[in-house]
Amino acid sequence: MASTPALLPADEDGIRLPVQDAGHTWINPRGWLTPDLVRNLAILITGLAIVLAVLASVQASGGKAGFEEIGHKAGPQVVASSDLYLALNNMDAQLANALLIGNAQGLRVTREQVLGDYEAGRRQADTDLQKASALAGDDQRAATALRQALDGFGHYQALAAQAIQLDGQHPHPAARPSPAVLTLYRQATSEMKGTVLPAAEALRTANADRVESAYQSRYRALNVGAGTVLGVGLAVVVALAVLQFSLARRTRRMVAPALVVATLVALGGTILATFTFALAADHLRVAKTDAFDSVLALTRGRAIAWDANADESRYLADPQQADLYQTAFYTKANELVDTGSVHSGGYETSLGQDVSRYQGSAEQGRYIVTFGGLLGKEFRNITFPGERAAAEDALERWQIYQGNDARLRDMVAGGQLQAAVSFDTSPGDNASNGSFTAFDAAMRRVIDVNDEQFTENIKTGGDDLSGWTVIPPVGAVVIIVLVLAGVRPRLAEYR
Amino acid sequence: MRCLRSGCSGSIEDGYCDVCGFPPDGTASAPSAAKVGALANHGNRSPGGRAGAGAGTATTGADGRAGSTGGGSTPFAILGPAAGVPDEVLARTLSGRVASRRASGDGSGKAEARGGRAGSGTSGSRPAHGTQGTRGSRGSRGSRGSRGSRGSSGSSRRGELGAGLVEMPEVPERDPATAIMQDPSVPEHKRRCGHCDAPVGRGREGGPGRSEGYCPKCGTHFSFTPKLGPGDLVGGQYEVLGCLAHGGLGWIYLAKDRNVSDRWVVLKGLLDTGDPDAMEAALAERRYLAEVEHPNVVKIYNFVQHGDAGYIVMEYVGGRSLKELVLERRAAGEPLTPAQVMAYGLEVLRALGHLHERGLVYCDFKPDNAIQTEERLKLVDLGGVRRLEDEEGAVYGTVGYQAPEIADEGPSVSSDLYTVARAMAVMSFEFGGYTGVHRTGLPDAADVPVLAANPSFDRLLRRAAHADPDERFWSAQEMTEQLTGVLRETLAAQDGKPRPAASTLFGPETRVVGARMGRAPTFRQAASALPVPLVDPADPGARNVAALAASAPEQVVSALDHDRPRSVEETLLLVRALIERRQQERAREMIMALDEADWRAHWFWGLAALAEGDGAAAIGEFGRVYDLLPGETAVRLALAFSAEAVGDSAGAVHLHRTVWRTDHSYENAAFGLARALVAEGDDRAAVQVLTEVPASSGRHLDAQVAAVVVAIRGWAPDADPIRWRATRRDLLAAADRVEALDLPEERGARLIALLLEALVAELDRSGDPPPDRRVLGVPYTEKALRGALEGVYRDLARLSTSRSRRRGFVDRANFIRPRTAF
Repeated sequence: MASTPALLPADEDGIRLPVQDAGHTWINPRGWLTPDLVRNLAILITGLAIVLAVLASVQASGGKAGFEEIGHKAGPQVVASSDLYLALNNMDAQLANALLIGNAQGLRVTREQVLGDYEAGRRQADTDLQKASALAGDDQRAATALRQALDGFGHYQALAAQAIQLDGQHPHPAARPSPAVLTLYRQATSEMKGTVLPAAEALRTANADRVESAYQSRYRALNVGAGTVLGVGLAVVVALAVLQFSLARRTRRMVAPALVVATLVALGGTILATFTFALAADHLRVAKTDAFDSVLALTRGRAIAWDANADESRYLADPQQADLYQTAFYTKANELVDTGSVHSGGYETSLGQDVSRYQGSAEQGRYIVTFGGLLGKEFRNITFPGERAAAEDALERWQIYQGNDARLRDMVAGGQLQAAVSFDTSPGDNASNGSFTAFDAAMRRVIDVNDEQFTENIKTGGDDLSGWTVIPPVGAVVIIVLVLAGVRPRLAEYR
Repeated sequence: MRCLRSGCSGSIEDGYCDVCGFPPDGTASAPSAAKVGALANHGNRSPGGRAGAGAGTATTGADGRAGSTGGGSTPFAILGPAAGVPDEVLARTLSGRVASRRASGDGSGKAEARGGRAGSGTSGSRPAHGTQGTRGSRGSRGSRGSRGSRGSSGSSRRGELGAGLVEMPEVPERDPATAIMQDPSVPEHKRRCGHCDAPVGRGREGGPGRSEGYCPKCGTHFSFTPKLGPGDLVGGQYEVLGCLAHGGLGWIYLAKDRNVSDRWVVLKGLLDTGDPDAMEAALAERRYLAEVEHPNVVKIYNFVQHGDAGYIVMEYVGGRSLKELVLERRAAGEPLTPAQVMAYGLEVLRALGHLHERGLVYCDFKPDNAIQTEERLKLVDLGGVRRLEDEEGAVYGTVGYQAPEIADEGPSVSSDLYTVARAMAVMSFEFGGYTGVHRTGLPDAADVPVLAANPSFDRLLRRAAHADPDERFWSAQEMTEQLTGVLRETLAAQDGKPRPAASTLFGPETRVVGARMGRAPTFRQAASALPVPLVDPADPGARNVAALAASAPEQVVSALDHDRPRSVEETLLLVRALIERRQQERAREMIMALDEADWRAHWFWGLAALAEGDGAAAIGEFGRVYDLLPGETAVRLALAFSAEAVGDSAGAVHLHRTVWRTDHSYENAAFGLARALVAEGDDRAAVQVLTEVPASSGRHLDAQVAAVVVAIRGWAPDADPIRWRATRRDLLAAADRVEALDLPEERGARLIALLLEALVAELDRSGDPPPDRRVLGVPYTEKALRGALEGVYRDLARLSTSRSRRRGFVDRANFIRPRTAF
């Protein structure tokens, strides 16, 4: 392939200068004249620089849009749909409490207070529904779920209102609502469980899936973009080096300062861009998998806890179906902290063993988690400062709450129904409801820790990328200008 | 058997008395008278006769040799048929038919030539014509002869031997007194009958031989005792001092002219006859010899009678005969060079030319008959001289020298020239068998180193000594011109110094082709560059030709290509124009209409062939012209071009070199030689040749450029690695040469670029530049050279009109420039 380039023919005197004839081959770059080589390399570099700039800018803006979507649009919607689930459970729990309390006096909480809580839960659910409906327009599955949720929610409110009204017309002591009220309540709560909550769950899942897929594509795009930018950037650097080398060899000028600067700019820009994109991808990953997923899991866990607490109240308010509610309670408790035991007393014992084992290992700094469930999951996914402390607090308070629950069931078994109702509904620290409130607060703190990290990473990642929609074009322009400045005097010779 | 005559003490041998010469029957007086009459009739025109070599050998008389000294050369006198001479001495009778026979030969020769031409014309290529080619060529030769009289190379001579060109053997003048024999006697073994060459006067049975008597075979009287003694006064004015030598007609005496300031003279006997009337007639007949006045011919002062004998008084020539010189030099191991032989030949031709102009022929030239004394060569022994129109007289000649046709046709100018050529051959190499196997013709040149080494000389000898008189040179003048040309070539070959001279047959080169070595000339260009044969002013169309000389070929053709008869010169001009116009076929028709004997027919036929690139045919034709005109440089140039045309670069080198070496005005030869040398791979010699082109030449610049280009060839990036590479000194010399040239900008820039490339390449390879040396105006360092080279390439780029070339030059400038940071 290295055929010698054709030289100019000898002249009349037989002088044959080693000057290359212009009729050179286009196939073999060795046969190119210097200006052709230089110009072609300059064009190549310009093209590559533009490609690099476009690529980097597109990646930056795409990444930024990813942060925007996950951090400020889809993310909050998912949180909202999780909140909706929570609020709905809260409403049903307060309804159960209202029926449980009746017109009994002397308890630490009154019927009016409970009904006020119910009302607050209803308003929260309305707000969440409104938030969640923002995405129903473009997602068929979410829209169906929302319609079902709204439909079921209206039906549930009607039944609940009848039950509350009927219960108010027939005052009764605590834990002794009239059978008609109980019938209504059963209808209401089955509406809640059978229609509204699944719809809310479907809504939440749809939103979560959307976040998940957005995250997947954005994350992959950021990583691929980083690699591509690195590749193209290195190609620019190599082309610049080849240009520099060719000029040095063919014109015996060792250094072209503009080209050296251009090479440095290209190299630095490429490394920085690659690093930035990789970092942004990591921020996104942290925000999504470390923080956001925890928030979702914990919110769901909180909702389950609320439902379990409601089952406790239903256990007292509806003696005919007390066994069913007790079983439901432990099922949900296992969903939150899975100890493998679904029986009254057994669960508490198992939980105690797991907690003490964890605490024992935590002192040695090994953190052995033997329990499952959503909280167990959270314990296995502790990544942020303050998260462990908050989680341990929540676990501790869950244990207290379970202890109080065991006492409550002992009171019911001992026939002390009024005392049990009082214990159940009392917001005091040593009472069941009070300890649950403390657990819920602890759970919220864990969520807050993760939520803060989520917000933090979304913000940082977005801020990191925000400059990179502008820097690459500027850098490319700088490189192109430098290349032209370095090449122009050489090309000018050949005019 | 004793002689019967009274008072005679001789004895009869072979029928005659060896003392009184009479036959034993006593009736000898009648045949004796008849014999004497015959001798008087024929012999009185040859007073030297048998004694021809006498004067020549006079100076060597001391060694006792007389007459013919060589064993193989036997001089002979040719007598009339009545004498009944023995055949073994090659005596032949001349008849008076010569002139008429030759006249008839003229016509028949022409017809023959036509036949040959027609035959060759149909076959398309001309066969070697051999001898018949110039038969009947008298017409053309005549015209050439008349042109030759317009001054020639001979006029430049200073009258010195070797013409100041050749270093000749020195022969000091000898004091005649020392040449006198103390005891004038002839050794017995050399005593032979002057008539029949039979041994006479030999001693028998211990007794000494007689010094006087009669030949026992033919009865002729012989006497080996001098008739004159010291102190005798001959003719009342010549005082005899003694004998110098013995010749065929008796003793040769040295005498002093009492009347003319005691100058030395030589007395030589005329015919030994007792008849005073016959003697008177003989003297009268030979008087014209005294009219011959030429520095190269011995001067005849007088004819005198003394007693009953007649004597011819001539200038004393003290020196050495060519024969002696040749033998001496050969014995000394340094034979005469061809150049020296040619110088002698030129002197002889001068003398013969003089004789021929006076209507005389010398007849008997041989090395014995020319004596060199100091710086002069003189023909002695005018005994064989006779008038051209004389159809009856005796003809003398010597075996090995005399022309073969002499017996039938008698002596002629061309037979004289034949003897000169034979003598030159004998003198220039050991010509074994020149009286035998090669009595006519020369040995194969391949067997004779001298001839092989001097092809022109060889051809000259072969033409001059051709068996057919019509093939020979036509005049001494013509032979002199060609011999001078050959001599110039030979001398130039010896010392490398050119010997230029204008030709009488050819003009100068019309143009110089191939001076720019990058473009080899086409054959047509080469043909058009060759010198043109000069126009014969006597030609009827000469004025017309002169008027058309400067016209374009088209005009010449339109002016001359018509149906009216053309003169020879007009035809030749037309032929040349047709060849230039690529109408070879028409040109050939014209040539065929010419007299084939004219060498110009061959010349133009060859020219047409060369123009077509048919080198082989051109070589044949030009070779024929070379045979005829071996001294013409133009012919060798034509042959050189033809050799190039057939791709024979070695032959082209040889031919171009002989031309260029001889005459630097043939610049085509210089460039042709350089071209052929490059083709042979001898770049170095090519450079040397190119630098020889003189500064006065219009092509000096081209030659200098070509010298530089050829010298640098070996350093080209793509040059064959085995090619000779100029040394640094060569390159620097080339650079100095380039600096001295005044070249146009672009050409100069290209040349300097080439040179700088080579310098840089050489420096890259060899390194170690000498400090403080400057070359082409810059310091001799790689950096400076590269800087200069960059500048030159940028200049070339600026001068270039084509963009692609400009880019190429700038590219090279960048590639070769000195390394810098930015």
